[in-house]
Amino acid sequence: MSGRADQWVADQLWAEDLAMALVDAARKVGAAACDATVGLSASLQASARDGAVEDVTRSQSRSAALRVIVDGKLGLATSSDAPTTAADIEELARTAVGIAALSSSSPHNVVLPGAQMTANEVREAGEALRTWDDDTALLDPAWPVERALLTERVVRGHEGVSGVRDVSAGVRRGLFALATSTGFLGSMRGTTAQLSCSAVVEDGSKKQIESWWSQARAMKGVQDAVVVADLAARRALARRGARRVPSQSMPVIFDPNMTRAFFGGVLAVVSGEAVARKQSWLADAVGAKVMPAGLVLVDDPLLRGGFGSRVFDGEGQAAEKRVIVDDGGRLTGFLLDGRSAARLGLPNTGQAARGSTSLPHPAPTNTTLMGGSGDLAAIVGDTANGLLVTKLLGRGADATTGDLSRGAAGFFVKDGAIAFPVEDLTIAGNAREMLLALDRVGADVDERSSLRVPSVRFAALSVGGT
Amino acid sequence: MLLDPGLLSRLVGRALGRGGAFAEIYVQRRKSAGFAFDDGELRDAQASCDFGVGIRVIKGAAVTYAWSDDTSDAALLACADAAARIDGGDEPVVIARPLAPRQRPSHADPQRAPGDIPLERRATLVRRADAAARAAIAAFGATLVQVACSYADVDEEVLIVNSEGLVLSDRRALCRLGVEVVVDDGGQRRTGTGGGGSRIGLDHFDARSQSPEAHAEEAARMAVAQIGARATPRGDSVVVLGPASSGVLLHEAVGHGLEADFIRKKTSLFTARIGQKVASELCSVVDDGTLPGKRGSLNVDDEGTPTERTLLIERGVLKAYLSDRHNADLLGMERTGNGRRQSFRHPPLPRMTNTFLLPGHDDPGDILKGVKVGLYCRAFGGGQVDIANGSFVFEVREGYLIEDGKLTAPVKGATLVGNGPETLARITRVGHDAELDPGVYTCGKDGQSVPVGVGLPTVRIDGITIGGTG
Repeated sequence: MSGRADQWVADQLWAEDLAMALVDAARKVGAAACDATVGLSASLQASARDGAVEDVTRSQSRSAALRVIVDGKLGLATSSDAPTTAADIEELARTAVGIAALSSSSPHNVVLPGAQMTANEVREAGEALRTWDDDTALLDPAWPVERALLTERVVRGHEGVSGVRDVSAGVRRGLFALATSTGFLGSMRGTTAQLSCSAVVEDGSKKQIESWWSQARAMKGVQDAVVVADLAARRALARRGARRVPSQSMPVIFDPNMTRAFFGGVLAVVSGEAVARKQSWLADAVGAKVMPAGLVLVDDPLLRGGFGSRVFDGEGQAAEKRVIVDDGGRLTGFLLDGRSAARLGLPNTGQAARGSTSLPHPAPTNTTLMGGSGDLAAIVGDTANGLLVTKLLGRGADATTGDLSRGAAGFFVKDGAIAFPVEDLTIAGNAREMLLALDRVGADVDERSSLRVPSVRFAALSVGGT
Repeated sequence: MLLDPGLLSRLVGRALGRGGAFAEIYVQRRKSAGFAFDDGELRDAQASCDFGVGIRVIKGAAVTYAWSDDTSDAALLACADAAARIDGGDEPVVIARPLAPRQRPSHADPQRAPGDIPLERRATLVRRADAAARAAIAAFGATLVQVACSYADVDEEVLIVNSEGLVLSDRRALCRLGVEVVVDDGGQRRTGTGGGGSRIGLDHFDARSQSPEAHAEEAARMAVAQIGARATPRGDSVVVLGPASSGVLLHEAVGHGLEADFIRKKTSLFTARIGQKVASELCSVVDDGTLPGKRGSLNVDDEGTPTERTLLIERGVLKAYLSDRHNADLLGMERTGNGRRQSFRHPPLPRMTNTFLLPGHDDPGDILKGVKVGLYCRAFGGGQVDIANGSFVFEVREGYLIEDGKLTAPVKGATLVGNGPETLARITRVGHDAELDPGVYTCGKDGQSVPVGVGLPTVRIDGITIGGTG
């Protein structure tokens, strides 16, 4: 092990020790049930413009939070800079207990027994998930600076590209530790590297801006700078002369970026918290058919190298793969954490997400839509008359009704080919009906984030235009 | 002072140590508290303390920024060294001027800062709002599905020091109460929202019109008013925007495009259009960070520049952009005091403060009476704009059909879609009822959120596209 690698492990042990110390301090001041989180992170990002480095941003952060339950009342106290002296640790504990006294007592406030793993076992299991890359963790400025400069040079070299909005590359490392009063102690860590590029194209009195980005757990996994620049330039150039089309009902194709936005909204209402708050259009849908049969939606925290991968959830529960929508198209259940499970009277599914200074809340980890075939080109090829959406403006579906109405831009599809670019349109529908109306789903799953979805087509949506 | 003056001088010196032309230290200690009341319980009670330093070095168009929430001397000196690594030269060429404490204006000082008031008193606000919302729904005879109330406050000190000798301290407060009410409408859900806040602290909620009860009643009213809402007719229509909250449309459709970073990078369609007509002659648009106590107001921006009242558009003609130090310097224009940041973790960007359309001469009732068929929008949900081509989208949260000059049925699921300058050109009536929103808006840009105010009088627009399912 190199000296640096030793340092990373030392950081993990430091964070674990601090989390334990916070739990001990909270117990001493009267919080029998509590848990503590500690986060350490650092990042470096560089951007380029006109052939020169424009912005370089570096960060280092260490923060901590203490969640306490006193007589069924819950309080959270957070701090950055993380407390390191005994006096500061005690002060955070007293703040947490003090603010808990103001909340309502509820049987739903619980600190759960954690996974039966030692901190060592958790660290080893974390290694196997491959969320960390030693080289990336060094945050060497050479990689982001050189990637940003090269990408910016290539994108400006495209004929018709007048400039860029932002071209940047960055690296980040982070670690998270959790200790609970029920005896769980664990930490995990991760690195990411990303490159993004936007291209500006003049279009009459307007401009068109499009972008492309790549993200990976390690610098070497990031898409080539030339590819990223070319994609950004081609996407922007293709939008020149965009116009409107008459209002009509027609098949609508989403590229994987747009599918991600749509399924992000779907998963938000599969969250047990949304259901408990009665803000979910899927609240009554468990066991019901919500998607065409043959498509499967799976949440897998143990996916190697995934952006949502983890060994334990935000309450110390062992991570497990779960099917959200089965191959019969049925919703199998909600995403739950301790509190939402208790509120709904359901068994916990261990899907608590948690930042180093926030309360746990149910959220997906690595979610993949499987069972499709072909790709975007194949779906376009099979569409006689329709709209390919590559940009959406505004908010997603209303959480309680599922009604969706958004601004859209993209391309008009005629006789199985892209005919011309379009903009200033709206698409409208109801998300629950839209899910059932998926009549084509690709296999071109976009793996750049934790929500991994392909191109899709909705049989018919209401498109608003002239 | 948040940091020792000797240490501050050393940090400035180290930050300029490798060829930087300008260095700035931003120190921030922010205490915040928040309460969430939902389903009859005060569910989440949170208190947080955030203390950190952001160091920025500028040379020409290049900027380096380093921040740390580890505030030990060693960590901060390392942070200054990291920021110092700017392109070009290894030798200091600029010598920092001695630090000289500066007076600042006082538009947005807290009357009683939240931090000086016991947590129990602050938590009472959400309990009162919850009770009032339930009572209001019962009085309407409607079926309540859910009430969710939230309260959050910030009490912070900032210290801004730079290599030009500036030393400036500011104390800032911010309070915000939000209420959301969901009622049943024959199996469908209708949502109403209310809320308000300001920088004056807890006293804000003392007036009856700003009380938790008033905000709860407004949320209940909005939810109940939408019972029986119809699908929105799709297509081009005359639209009347109600006062105050509709200002979010102006903020998105015009305001962002006037921010100087987009101008410098030539990504805004307002680039190089000063002196040109960009809106109807009825439109004059102002950004004003000096309005006493308002949510978007500040004594000084996050670079220490005093905030201003900036006339952006005068009778349809573009007059000015909103600038921070860096972009103003590069563009050779005056600073307008709009350099803002979410926290010490973020470099400043040109941002709006309170942005609004100045009142016109028309009576709001007359504006409505003159519309044969159209849509009246009273409240908006989310909105988004593409500043390159001006396209925008807004979700109408509370809207009504206008038939023969009268509001008839509520509508659901409406979205306004259009183009900023084209829409401004189609404004044909402007009311005399200018108002600022009640103090709830947060604006997002480049991953940074800052509190803002928006405002608009009643306005008639002849032709805007409505998206919907009808």
